[in-house]
Amino acid sequence: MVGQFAARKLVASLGGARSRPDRRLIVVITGGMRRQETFSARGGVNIPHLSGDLLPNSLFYSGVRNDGVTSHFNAISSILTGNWQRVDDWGNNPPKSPTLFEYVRRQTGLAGDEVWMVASNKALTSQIGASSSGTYGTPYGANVVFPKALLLTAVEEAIQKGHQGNLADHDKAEAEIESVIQGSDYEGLGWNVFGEAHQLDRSVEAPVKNAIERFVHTNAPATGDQLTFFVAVEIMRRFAPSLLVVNFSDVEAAHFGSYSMHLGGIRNIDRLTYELWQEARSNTEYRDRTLMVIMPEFGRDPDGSNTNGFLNHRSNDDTCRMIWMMCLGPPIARPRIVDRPVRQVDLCPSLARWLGCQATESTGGVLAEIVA
Amino acid sequence: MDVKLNLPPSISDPLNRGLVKKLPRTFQPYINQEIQSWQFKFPYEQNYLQSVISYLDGLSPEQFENLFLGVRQVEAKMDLGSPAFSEREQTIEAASILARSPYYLPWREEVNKVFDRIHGAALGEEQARLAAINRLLLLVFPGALPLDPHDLLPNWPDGQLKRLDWPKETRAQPSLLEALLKGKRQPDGRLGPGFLEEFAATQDRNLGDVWLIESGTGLRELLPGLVGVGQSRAILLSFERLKAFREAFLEQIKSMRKSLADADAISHRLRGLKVESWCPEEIGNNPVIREFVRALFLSNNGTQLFSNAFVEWGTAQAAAHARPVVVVCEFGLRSKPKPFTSVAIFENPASASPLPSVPDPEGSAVDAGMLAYYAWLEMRRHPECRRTACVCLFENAPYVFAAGTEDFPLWKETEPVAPERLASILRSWLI
Repeated sequence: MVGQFAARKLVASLGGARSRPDRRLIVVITGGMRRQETFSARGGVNIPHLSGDLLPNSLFYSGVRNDGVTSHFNAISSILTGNWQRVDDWGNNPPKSPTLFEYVRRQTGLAGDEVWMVASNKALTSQIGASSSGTYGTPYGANVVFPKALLLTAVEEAIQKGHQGNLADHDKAEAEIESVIQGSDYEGLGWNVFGEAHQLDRSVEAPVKNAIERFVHTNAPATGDQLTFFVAVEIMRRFAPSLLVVNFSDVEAAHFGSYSMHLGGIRNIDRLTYELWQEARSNTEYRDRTLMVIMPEFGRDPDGSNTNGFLNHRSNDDTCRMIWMMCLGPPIARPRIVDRPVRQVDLCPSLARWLGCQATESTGGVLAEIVA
Repeated sequence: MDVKLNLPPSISDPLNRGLVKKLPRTFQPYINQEIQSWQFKFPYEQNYLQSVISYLDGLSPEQFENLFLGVRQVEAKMDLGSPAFSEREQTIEAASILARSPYYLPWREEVNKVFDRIHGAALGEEQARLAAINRLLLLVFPGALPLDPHDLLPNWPDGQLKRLDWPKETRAQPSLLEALLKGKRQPDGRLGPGFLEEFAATQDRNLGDVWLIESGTGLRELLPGLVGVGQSRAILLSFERLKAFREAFLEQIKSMRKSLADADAISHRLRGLKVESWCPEEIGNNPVIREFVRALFLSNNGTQLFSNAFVEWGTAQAAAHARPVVVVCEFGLRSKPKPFTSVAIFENPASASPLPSVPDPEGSAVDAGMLAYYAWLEMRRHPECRRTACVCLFENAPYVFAAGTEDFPLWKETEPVAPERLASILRSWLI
């Protein structure tokens, strides 16, 4: 099984153990959201925390462009590598150039438990954690965790076993989800960055169980992003990684034609992102030393497009390609809004530089406001 | 199956002269697929395909090469050697490979240029004739949806509200919809025929001119003369009546692994499935409508899961394939996602969780408001449908919300407008 939470002991094994860097980086990548439903006169109501609580203290890029393939795996891997990726849309191949995870681990000697990705999107696989680049690759990759996939598997298994009644009872639902973690057929979800071991490392199991327990017993909506949030927070508390990438995707309910569920996903992202920032501000490992960046993968198609508007994200319009980026934290010298157009691929080299590395194979530029 | 046997000479002759083989690589699967489905096409689509093929066949070799020069130049730079590129049909995998190519956008531009030239040269006259026809999109919001008509205005800047002369109580008899579509009760107690039934009965109607697309079965019950047993004056698509069809498709889709090749395999299997036994009679008996519904569910966009998405995308596809003259849509109510099953969205919530279903009127109203706007945009997107009047009817509010051409007679009416007067306006608009 599992590999998922890193099958081996999470200890530094590559590049030699150096002292922990003083900086922490959290990158939140969300599913597709149009500017008209977020940072616009009418969209502000959906993002009260982002637009009201966080914007005034942020470095905000109002025009970030996705010039690549507007599918999930390609968009996220483009952000993480600083190159427009054109690989299999469903994550059957890794990115072709090194990810931020690899640059940071190889160049700073960060240990394996210092770099994590927690993702909701079903289109991702563990291939997102490391590239096929010969000089980098899996040895320098991230721990990649898919809590929503875990939840999906639990629901499907419960139904197959005729246990669906358990999904109406919180304690039994928790047991159903935990049984998937302890089962033997879960590696298909691919959290195998650290190897082929078939037992979940106990040091990892506890945080997952804690997250599940809190997820199941909370009164918050039982969405995939909620569980992703809980797992991300548990990882912060348990391992305090220097680099954490979180991906939220409840907004992708749009594909099924429910505008209200899409807006609900945006509001979830607004709330969960805010709460993640509150965690970073209160957790002593993160307080006063964390840069948090929030950016959608892309927008969505415009109303009246032949691709059915908000349901999809494949048109070549600005509504789909133009998004925004918010940077938070004391490392930001001066809160301001930057209207200069930038590209998604500029993020990786900028963040690498901020962490003291060089994204040598990225074609993106360095954003002066971030590294200043 | 040799579909060429059923083709008119205007298509079979150019095919026999090797027309398809002369086309650029990326055009061949499209044209082949269109020809393969000839017998399942609406009259509008058949006319369109004949015009395109005839135009291409009539070009001189130089004109033909000139038309496709830009596409061929871009294709030469693209990696089209993958076995995923079938010449016979378009596949999800091939579309994905195209979309990932760095030359995808230039390719799209060149393809658009080709179609613009074909449409201008081969279809201009027919498009102008069709564009002169008055059309109607009637969107009905049932009383269960708490939608304030004023809430539509921000999303729909070219729309106008008109107050109706109608009591506010939602339980008024007959209903507002009945009053509009059936008129006053006749002395013998019968209702109707209303303007829609009159229009559908006119002599020169083609298959695909009149559509009823609904979440439930209310339109079918109100208009049995259009879609009852032995009647085919309108096409009826009812989300509720297609339950068996939808669930059978969902079972197949759930089995899909995460790969484009598997998506193509399942899509291929679903295209070949015998579906007649899952269809209500008004669909199972007509292969054109049956294949339309199959394609509708294959294109997803939530059509198998949410009734309002089904209504909107059904309207969009009806407009794309048939250029309807009248579409009447009724939205509906969905349930709230249940705990945990909301992430497993392809699960049937009723079987996945024993918790009772809880209706979501507010969420359904938000969905319906946006999707009604999309249905209107989809109709208006086609040049032939520019003279479409859109009328939204609210069973819980004495208003209509309308959009359309400047000469739509409703604009001149003094408020409040009686339902009989509205019906009269719509009748004169269509007949």
